Amino acid sequence: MSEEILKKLAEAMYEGDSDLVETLTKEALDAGVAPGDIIEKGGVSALDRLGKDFSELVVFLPQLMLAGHAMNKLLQIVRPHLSEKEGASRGKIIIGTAKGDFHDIGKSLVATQLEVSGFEVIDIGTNVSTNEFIQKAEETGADIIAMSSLLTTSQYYMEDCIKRLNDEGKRGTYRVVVGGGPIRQNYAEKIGADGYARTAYGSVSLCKELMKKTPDTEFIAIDA
Amino acid sequence: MGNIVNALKTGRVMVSDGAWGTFLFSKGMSAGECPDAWSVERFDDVAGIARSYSEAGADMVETNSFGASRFKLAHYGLEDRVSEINEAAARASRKGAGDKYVIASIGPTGKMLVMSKDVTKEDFYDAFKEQAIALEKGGADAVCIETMNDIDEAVCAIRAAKENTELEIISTFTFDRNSRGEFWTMMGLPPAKAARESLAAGADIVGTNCGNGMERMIEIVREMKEACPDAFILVHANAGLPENIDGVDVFPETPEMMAAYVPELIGAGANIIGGCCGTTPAHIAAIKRAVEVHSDGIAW
Repeated sequence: MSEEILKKLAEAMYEGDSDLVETLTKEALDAGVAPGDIIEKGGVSALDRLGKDFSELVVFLPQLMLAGHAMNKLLQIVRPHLSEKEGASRGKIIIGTAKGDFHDIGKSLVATQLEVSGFEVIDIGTNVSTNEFIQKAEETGADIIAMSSLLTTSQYYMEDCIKRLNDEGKRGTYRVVVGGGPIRQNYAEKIGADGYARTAYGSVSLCKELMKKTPDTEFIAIDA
Repeated sequence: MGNIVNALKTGRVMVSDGAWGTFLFSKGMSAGECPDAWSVERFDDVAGIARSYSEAGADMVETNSFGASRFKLAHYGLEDRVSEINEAAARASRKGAGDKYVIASIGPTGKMLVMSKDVTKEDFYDAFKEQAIALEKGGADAVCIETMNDIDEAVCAIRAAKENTELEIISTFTFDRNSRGEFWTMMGLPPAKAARESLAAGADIVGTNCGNGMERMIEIVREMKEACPDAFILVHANAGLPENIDGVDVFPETPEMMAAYVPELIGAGANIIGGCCGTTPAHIAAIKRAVEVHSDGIAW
């Protein structure tokens, strides 16, 4: 019974049908399905599949956005039923597009995927200076600083941010991840980031892995 | 000066220009500057880019107005200067292009209609209308609505230009090849539908720019031509697919490598051929020579 509901829920999530997701989520709670299972098996599994399919361009951006919306709906309903431990955030992430670059879509996509996967995400927008990244990270007590760039001319600021963290003795406080169209693994490694993922889908497993380690220890790359 | 479509009707294959962004950086623009504002502040440099392409043999040159909609200019607090900036962009290319056609660039707003509560199609239409009117005033012959992903946004731009100016309308989209070998924009738009719906909305010329090198553009042109056999098709191809060298993307194709695809691209149905990311006046000169060789024996 509960497997059946979760299967239907995952399907509705994949299709981005918010109304059906709402109905099935409530149904699952009423039937006594564990809140953690509703999130993982009903929501996250579908988003994983969707993220992977988008990275291969067999589904498209509108469907991904609809599913993100549906996932937020699911979380709204389920959250009050979570125990303190289950409801705990996986970690706090500051995300933004580097200075000189106003591209918003890719960065927002990563933010949404991280958020629906259980991270607390603070999106500080586009054209973000090194100062702003560091200041916001300090203000919020972030675990991870995530920087995006679609312009090769802005990727310099990723390097700049890491350098500043080093110079100010703060590098050990934050894990730093970078990504975006022209950003490659060897560049991320060269500038001393903690990690790199090629796609929004990959950024979720990257951040989960990094939360198991202390900042600035080993470099992790997710080529998916 | 006749119009572009009339020239194409004679069977002539025309050549367009190459990349602009990298050119601006080579002239000293720094990251974080508004590229479009250069048309006002560095008018002669911008006109110089148009001249470089015109002298390389392009039959038409674009303008430095890709990001000059009010939505994009707002990032720099310049949203009140849309008319001034677009008019200057068209004047700069007009000056540099000599007797060549000026096809004025209009890029996406960067906003998405899907799921967005803060923008409507009317907002898009108004922004594109404002831009197109200023480009016409500055002396453009056509608008080149480019790098589009979303058919609804492209249609807003096409209609805005059609209903408010006398400009000819070019509408081009950026496609990626997926794991199954099919071409789609990230919004889920395939080449055939992009061409069909652009023409239905009033575009005179359709096509594709960026995202792919010449080789893949051949496939995209075939798909558009199959769906719309009478359409005139423009291609602005990258200099190949970027290769990563020391963490930096480099476009690998030399002018000769790009030019080698010209006969097949024309065979597939392309009527206007130019470049996008990674291309230079040398690429355009090589494409021009290839087009001339291909068209040898036909007098223009």
